[in-house]
Amino acid sequence: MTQNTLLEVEHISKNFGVVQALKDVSFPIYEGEILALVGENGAGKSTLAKIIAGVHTQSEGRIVFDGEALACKTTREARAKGIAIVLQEFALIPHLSIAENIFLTSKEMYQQGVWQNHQKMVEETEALFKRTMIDFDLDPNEKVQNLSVAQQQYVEIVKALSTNARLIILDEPTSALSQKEVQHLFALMQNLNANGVTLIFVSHKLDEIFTISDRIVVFRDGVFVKEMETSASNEQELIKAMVGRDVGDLYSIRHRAPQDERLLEVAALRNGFSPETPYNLHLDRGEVLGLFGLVGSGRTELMRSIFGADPIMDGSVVIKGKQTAGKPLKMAIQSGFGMLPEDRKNQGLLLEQSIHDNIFLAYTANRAHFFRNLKEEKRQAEQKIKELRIKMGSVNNPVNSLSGGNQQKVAFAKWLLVQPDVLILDEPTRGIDIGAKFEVYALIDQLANQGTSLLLVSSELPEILALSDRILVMNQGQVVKELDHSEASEELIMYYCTMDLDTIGTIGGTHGNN
Amino acid sequence: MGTIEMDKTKHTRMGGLHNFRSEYSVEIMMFLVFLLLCALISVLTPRFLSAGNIRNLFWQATTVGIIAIGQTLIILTAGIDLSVGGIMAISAMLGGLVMSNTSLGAGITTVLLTGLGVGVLNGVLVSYARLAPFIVTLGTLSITQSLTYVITDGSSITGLPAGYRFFGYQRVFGLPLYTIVLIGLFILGHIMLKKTKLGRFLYAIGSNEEASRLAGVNVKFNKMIAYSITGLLCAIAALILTSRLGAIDPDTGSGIELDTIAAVVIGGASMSGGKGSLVGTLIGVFFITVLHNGLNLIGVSPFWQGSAVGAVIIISVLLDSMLRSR
Repeated sequence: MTQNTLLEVEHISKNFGVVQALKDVSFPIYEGEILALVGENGAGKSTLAKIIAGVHTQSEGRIVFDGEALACKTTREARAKGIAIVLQEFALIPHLSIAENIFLTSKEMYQQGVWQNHQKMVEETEALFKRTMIDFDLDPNEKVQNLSVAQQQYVEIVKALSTNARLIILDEPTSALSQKEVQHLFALMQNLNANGVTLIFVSHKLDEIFTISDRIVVFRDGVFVKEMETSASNEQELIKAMVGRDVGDLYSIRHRAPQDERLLEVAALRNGFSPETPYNLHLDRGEVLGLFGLVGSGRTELMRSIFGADPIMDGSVVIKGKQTAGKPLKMAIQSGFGMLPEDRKNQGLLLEQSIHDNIFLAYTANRAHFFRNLKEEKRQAEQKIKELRIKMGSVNNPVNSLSGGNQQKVAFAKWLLVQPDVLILDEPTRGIDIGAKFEVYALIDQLANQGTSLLLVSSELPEILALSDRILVMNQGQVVKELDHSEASEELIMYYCTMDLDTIGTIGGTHGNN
Repeated sequence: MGTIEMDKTKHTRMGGLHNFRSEYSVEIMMFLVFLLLCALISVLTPRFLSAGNIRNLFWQATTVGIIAIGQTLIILTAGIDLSVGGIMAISAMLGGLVMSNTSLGAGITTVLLTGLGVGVLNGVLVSYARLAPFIVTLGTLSITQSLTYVITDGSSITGLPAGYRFFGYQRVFGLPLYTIVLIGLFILGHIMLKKTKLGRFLYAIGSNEEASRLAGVNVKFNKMIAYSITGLLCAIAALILTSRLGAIDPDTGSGIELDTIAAVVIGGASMSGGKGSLVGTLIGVFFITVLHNGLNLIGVSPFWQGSAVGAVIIISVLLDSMLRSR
C-alpha cells in the first residue's frame, strides 16, 4: 500500500465545559486505507471523528487535509472539502424521497435556485447507486421513512459519494444492523475503498474491527494510546490497549450445574408475532438459558410474552407453581419474574430521574408500603451501588449522566432489589464498553450460582456460548434447535438460525421441546 | 470518563444543602425573581405590603392554588387538564341546586361527588381508553360548561343557606379557613409526592411510561388517580369561591385552566412530564397573583396584564432551558 498521508491530526484537544474529551491527539490517516478508531465509550473516538467532519470544532490543534489546514465549522464546509460523516443518528428527512435527500443542498439540482430538476436527481441517484457496486434494489423516488435502518444508512453513504467525498467517516455504523446487514455494509465499504475512498470506521466491536480495517488507532480516556497494523495484532492486544490492563479472556467459559428444581415452565405459549407456533421451554434453578436468533427472529417478542409485557394468545407460563400467563405484570413480578428490556433508554430507565429513584422503581412498585422509608431506601441503594460498583457522583444525579455500562448496572440494581427467581435479560451488554461487559458477565455468573435462573437473549454469539448452560436457537419465529453447551459452537448456531426451516426439519431438528 | 466522574464526586462532598440546591435549582431561581418582583412593586406602591392587601393576595391565590396542586400532579404524568374550570362550574351548580331543594349537607356532598366524578371520567378516558389528555379534557370542559348553563337555564343561584358562608368566611386561630386549607393541601400534596409510592409513580410515569409499566407500576390506575384528585380539588375550590361570593354563577371558574397551567410551568415543571414540584407550583401561583395584584395597584390597565403574564411564562421557561443547558 502506498502510504501517502491524506489527513494529519495534529495536537488536537477538545473540551466540553470542564470535561476534557480529547488531550493532545496526533496521528496520520493514509490515503486509501480503512482505519478503525477504537476505544471504549467515552474514550474520545467519536469526538475526534466529529471534529474531522466539522460537527465539533477543536479547542486546540489543527487538522491538515491534503496538505492544507482545515477550519471547517460545519459538516457542509467539510463536505465541500471532500470529507463526509455518517452519524449514528441519520441526517435524513423521512418524508422526502431518497433522491431528494441526497441532493437536498445541491445547487445543480435546482433551476434558478428554486425549481427542483426531478428527472436529473433520479438519474444521478441511480448513477451513484451503480458506483457503489451494491444492489440494494432501491427506487430513488421511495420515501426515506419507508426504508429499513440499513437502507437509510446506505442512502447516507450514497449522499456522501454525491459530494465526491475522498474521506468517509462511519460512526458506529453497525450498532443497529443485523449480522447479514453488517456483511452488506462491509462489502460496500470494500467497494468504496477499491474506488480510492479512504474510510474511518469508528467502533468498539472487536470482530468487526479485525474483519474490515487495515490499521487501528486506539483511544482511552481522550488520549491516543496506540496505533497498529490490523494484520499484526490480535484481540488480546487490542483489549489490553483499550482497557489499559490485562483482562484475560473476555469470553472465558463459565458453566455451572443447575439444581434439579423446575422454576419456569412455559407450555404451548402463542403470541401475536408467530401465531401458529406454540412455544415450550423450561428453566431450572440456577440455570442460564441462552436464546439466540437474528434480528426479527421473534426472540424479543418471545421474552416479552413470557414476562407478560405484551398480551399473549394462549398458553401457560408457570413460575414456581404459579400461573402468570394473562395476569397483570405486577403479579408476574411478585411471583418471581424480572426483565431487563432490550431498549434501555426507552423501556428500561427513567432517564432524567435520579439514580436512586431508578434503583427503587421496581421495589416501590412491587414490595413497598404506601409511605416510603427513605432512610432504609438510601441504605439499600448505597449497598447495591457498592456491590455493582456503579461509578457515579451522587445518587441524586439523573441516570442519564452515567455511561452506558453504569446505566445498565442501575437497571440490574433495580431488579436485584426485588430478588427475582427468573430474570430475563434482553441484550444486557448492548452499547456498553468492554470493562462493563466483564462485570455484567461476572454478575450473571454470580446470580446463577446464587440460584437465580436467567433467560439470556443476545445477538453476540461468543457471549451466548460463554454464559449459557443450554441454548435455544430461533429462526423465523420458531425455536428450531436446543443445544447443550457441550455440543454448541458458533458454526452450529449460525447454521440453525440462518437455514431454511424445511431443511432443518428434514435433518431432525426438534421444535425446542424435550 | 475520568474527568467527568471526578468532577461529580466533588459535588457530593458538599452534602445535603447542595442536594437541596440541585434538586430545587429552578424553584430557587424563580423564588428569587419572585422576591425581586415583590420588592419592585412595594417600591412603586406602598399599599402592596399593607395588611389588607396581603390578606387580599392570599384570597386571590386560593382558587388557583388549590387547583394548581392537581394540575401539577397531572402535568407530572405528561398529561394536562383543561376541564378544571368546567368541573368547578358544574359541581358548584349541581350542589347549589341540591342545596336549595334539600339540605346544606346534601348540597356539599353533591359538590364534592360531582367534582370527583368528572375527574374519574377524565382519568378513565385518558388511562383506560388511551385518549390524549388534551382532547379528553377539552371535551369534558365543553360538556361541563354547557351542562352548567343547561341545568339553570343560564341563571345564577343566589340566596344560599347561611351555613354555606362557612367555607369562605370562617376563621381559625385568626386566619381565614381557606388559607389554612390552601397551605394544608400544599403540604399534604408535597408529602404525597416525595414520600409515598403514588408520588414516585407520578414522576416515573411522566418520565417513561413504558419503563414504569415494565417495572410493575400500574400506570393506568395511577394516572386515573391524578385526574380524580384534581376533580376533587376543583370541587373544594368551587365550594370556597362560591361561598365567599355568596352566589353560584354559571361562568364560575372560566379561564382558570390557563392560570393553573401557567403557575405550574412558572414553577419549573416540564410539560413533557417527570419534572416539577409543588414547591415550584406554590411559587408560580403567588407569582401570578402578585403580578396581577401589583399591576392593578400601580394602575396598569387590565388589558395589559395578559401580556405581562404571558411574558413571565415565556421568560421562566427560557430561564429554565438556559439553566439546564449550562
